[in-house]
Amino acid sequence: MLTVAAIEVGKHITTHIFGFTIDADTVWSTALAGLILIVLGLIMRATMRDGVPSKLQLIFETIVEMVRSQVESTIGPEGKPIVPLAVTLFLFILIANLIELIPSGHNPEYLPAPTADVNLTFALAAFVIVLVHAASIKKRGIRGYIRHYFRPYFFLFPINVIEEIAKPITLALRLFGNMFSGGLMLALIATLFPLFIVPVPEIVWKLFDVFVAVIQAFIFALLTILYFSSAMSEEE
Amino acid sequence: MSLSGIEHGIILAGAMIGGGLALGGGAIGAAIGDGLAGSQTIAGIARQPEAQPRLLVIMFLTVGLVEAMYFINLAFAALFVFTLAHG
Repeated sequence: MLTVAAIEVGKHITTHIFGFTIDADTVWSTALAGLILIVLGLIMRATMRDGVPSKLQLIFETIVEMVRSQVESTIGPEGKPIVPLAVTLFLFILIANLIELIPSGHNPEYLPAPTADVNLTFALAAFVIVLVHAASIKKRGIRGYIRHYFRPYFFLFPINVIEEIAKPITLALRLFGNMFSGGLMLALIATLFPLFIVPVPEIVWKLFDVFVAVIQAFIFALLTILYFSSAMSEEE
Repeated sequence: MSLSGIEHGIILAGAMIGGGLALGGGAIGAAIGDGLAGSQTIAGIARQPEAQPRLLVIMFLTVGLVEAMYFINLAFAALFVFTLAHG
């Protein structure tokens, strides 16, 4: 009965460099997502028109305008450097999540969703949190930064520390859990249903997974903006 | 280290129960959280129908955050059932 035990979880194509074990399929999926984003940006730049915008330009303009209005309503005018970061995070995570749509039929997939690997999501979360703390120190100075741990009450210091630690961990695990369970559920459906009926629930689940991918990319970008806003806010 | 049959059975049973508890608790929490978010959205739209787009965006954001807890639970349940039980 333990056919479920036939599913292997967390298996990647690995290489060994300098004694480290690196998930090679995550690395080349990330590179592919980055390459797609750069090529889209270059194509948009090449077909940019002043009058009636081209379709790609329209998509980019909509996303940038949404992010810019969100940043302005949360942080204010000094949040202008955050807008490129938020747009890049949203588009990169969206494309990386959608790479899951490409099947390859090999057991550790040749092109998995890179965000289904916990290494990539922790790297993204660490990158964002380091930038948030750096922006906070630059805005408030070292003394203001240390002092904000003791606001609004002195004895809330442990809770503030736990909150600062929980931010990158939940940021990473949220994205990882969503994408990883999408792939896992596909394997489970293929295992538990008889073969002739498998495509229907697979397609339904995959559509829901695409919806989840878009929402999770949006949430990652939005939480980045919110963390910046709370790190750069003025003292009351 | 090779375990006897009964020790392996106990570890497997514990992993399955732990995975089931994680999934069950996560599902209850996620369902209640989504329900609260949806109900407040419906109340807000009933009060002021022209606020619908903004309320809908915030509702999807809240749903994404709530479901994140469930998906973290799901990842840990998968860890228990698939990896720790057989490793």
